[in-house]
Amino acid sequence: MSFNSLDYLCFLPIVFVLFYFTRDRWRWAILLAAGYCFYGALREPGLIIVLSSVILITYVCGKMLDTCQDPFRRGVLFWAGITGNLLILVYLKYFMFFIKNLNFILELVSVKFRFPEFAMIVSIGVSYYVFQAISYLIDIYLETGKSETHLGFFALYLGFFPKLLQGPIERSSDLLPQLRTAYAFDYDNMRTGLLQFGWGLYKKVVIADRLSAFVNPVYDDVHSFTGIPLIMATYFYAMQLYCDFSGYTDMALGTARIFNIRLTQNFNSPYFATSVAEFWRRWHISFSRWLLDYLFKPLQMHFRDKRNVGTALALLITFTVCGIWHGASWNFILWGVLHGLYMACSLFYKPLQKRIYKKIGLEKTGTQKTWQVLVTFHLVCFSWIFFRASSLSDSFYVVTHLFSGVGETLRHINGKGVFRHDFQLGQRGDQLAIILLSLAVMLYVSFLKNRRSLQQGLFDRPAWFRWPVYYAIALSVLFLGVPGANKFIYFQF
Amino acid sequence: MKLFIKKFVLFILPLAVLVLYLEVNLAGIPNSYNLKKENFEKQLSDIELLVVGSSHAYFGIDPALFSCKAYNMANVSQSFSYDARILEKYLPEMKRLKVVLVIVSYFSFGGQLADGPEYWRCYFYDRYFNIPPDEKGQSTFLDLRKYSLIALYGGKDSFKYLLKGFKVNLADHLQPNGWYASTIPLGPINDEAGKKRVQILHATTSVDNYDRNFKRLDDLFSLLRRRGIEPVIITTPVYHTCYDNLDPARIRKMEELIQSLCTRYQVHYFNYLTDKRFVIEDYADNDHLNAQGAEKFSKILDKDILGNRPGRILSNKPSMN
Repeated sequence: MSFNSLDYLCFLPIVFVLFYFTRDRWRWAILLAAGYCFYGALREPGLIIVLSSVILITYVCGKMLDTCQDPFRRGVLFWAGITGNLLILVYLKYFMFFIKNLNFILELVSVKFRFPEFAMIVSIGVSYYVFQAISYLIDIYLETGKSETHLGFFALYLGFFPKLLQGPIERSSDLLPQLRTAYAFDYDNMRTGLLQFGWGLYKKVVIADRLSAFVNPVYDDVHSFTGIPLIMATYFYAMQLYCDFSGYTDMALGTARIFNIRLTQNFNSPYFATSVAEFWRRWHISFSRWLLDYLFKPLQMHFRDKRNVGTALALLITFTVCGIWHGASWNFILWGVLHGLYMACSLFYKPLQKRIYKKIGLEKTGTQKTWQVLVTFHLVCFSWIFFRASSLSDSFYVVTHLFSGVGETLRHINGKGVFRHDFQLGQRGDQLAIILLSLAVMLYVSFLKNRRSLQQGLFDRPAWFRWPVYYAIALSVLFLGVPGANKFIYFQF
Repeated sequence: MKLFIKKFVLFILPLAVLVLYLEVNLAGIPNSYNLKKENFEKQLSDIELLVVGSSHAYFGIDPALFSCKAYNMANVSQSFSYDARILEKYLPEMKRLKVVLVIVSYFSFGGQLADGPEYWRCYFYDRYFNIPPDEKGQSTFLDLRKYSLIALYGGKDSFKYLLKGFKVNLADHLQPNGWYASTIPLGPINDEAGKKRVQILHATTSVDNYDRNFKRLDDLFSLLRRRGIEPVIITTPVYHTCYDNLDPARIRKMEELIQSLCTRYQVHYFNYLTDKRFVIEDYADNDHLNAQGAEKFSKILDKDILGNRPGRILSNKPSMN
């Protein structure tokens, strides 16, 4: 079930009414049943079994880990839980990728034997709750967290429907206590939740879905384009991806808030970051935090004797895993490696960069910040090419043809149809105008820092100011939204 | 809670009124589906020849030029499944129907409206003809477009129609006999555009659908024959910029399937795909005839199909349109 569908608009009020009229003691059961219905609506019965397996494996291992004192047995239990979860994830997401590559190698070495290839179930949401389960087990093993004794609450921790399909990846210490807290209707939470949901819907249906009409024709057939259209499609994709994913997160956070639950903020104006490292502190924050705590820090400790080289190595490994997490494709792996390289290089380049800024008098100036934001944005955009392209060959084509014929296009920019073909990517001018206007609104809101104070700032205003804002969001979704429940990009991960 | 409910209702009420106002007025806008249905149902009992198919027939066959009472029930992207189900629905009332021209285009056997990019059209059939998307179609029960014309037309277009006071006609060149007279070019006619068009056709159709569509036609022809109605298969002309780029293997497969149907049901097949009588001035784009081309093509069809018929099984009265 997608947040931007009629199914969900019917589902959510029903769940809320049931939740509201149920006694506190059984509210977890309503939310858990809602989670299973929400997941079941994807019509992949296998996914229900996968979710239940992850819940059971993690619950049993976590509970036994918590009570076990023997270090050896603790180690066995811990690794059993981690391996069980990882096996499920690897089998669903990477097994076929592995078989295909193995068959490719067999073909290269002229061996006739081929491993059979078959269709796997679509593993929507699995990466998110498996990573959440792994973090839960690590926290118990390291004794930084306690196990949940109630199977229902634990199942709800993994299967809470707003974050089931695309995160945020929640820590047990953040979410479980909230799930156990008695519910009382809170007017502020309700209106904040609905506003955030509406804002997320605006980002998804008005901006992201409209941008897909600009991006898809180019990236689905890259060999028919060179130069400006490839550049424009890449810029548009950067915005599409952000609006799509952050829109989903806003809707997830808004939904959870209706039930008085605060999920982790997953985005904080990432395209205003001044370095790639900062970008990762602002983009998909719950996932970055997971990678930082459970992968990068242990690796950095492991390589600590090698100083900067060790840190660079830890970064490269962490971001390769980040790429692999996104999907079984060489494109994602290359995208992850590229981010690892950006950050590894910056480790060595940073002192020199500081000296350069100091020498040319830009240190700690607004110009330096603007320059850094621009450079970071373009580095990230460059990496999105690998993320979006359908294959490695398509990515290399885009990279090698990004600037082909740019001069020629600019010389003939007034020629018939040149602007429409190259800058508007064949779309109508009014479509572009809607996009640019909506993006401007979205970027302005992103620019006004700190979402919470922004919402509070809005609620502190008089009704004559607030209500037109609410209506503007509602009418934009109604009149400017792209019809049809278009899928979210991050569903595939 | 009471405060929230009060404010929520206050907020929703103007929006609900606006939505209702739009829905009611959008329902009055003529489009190719509601107009076709209305005209078709008015003439149902008199029709002797019916044309079904996709846009190639919709733009390319003018029933007014046939020497019998005919109606063009084709529409843009209409697949065999919809051809068949429209016929199944209305056949009992079409007492004088003698011939059905089934237009088979290059992409017809591979196409399936319900799983193609234009599946939103299914909601028009659902709304106006009460024909739901077929078994392989996407889930529609909770798709807003099933219930809302704002969702179906899109918010932006709905708003545009509102600004025009709903005084719009989305099928302004649609004739009472179901033919759409395309008087303006639909797109450029050149090699590049032709190649692109074929690429789109390949991308939006699949050879996996061939068997299912063949079965659909087989069932339809069987039904027609049982009722004493003659099916005739037609392939419309396309300009060389289009057919030069067609996949010969797919054409062969299409011809094999048609041949199989022709043998089984003694059906005539008239293939005008590469007909040189049609020149660039006859086309609205690389594969659709314009009004001039439709006139030429309809006269040819009348001569080839109705003119040479032994004993002229149809009455000879001129079309009423």
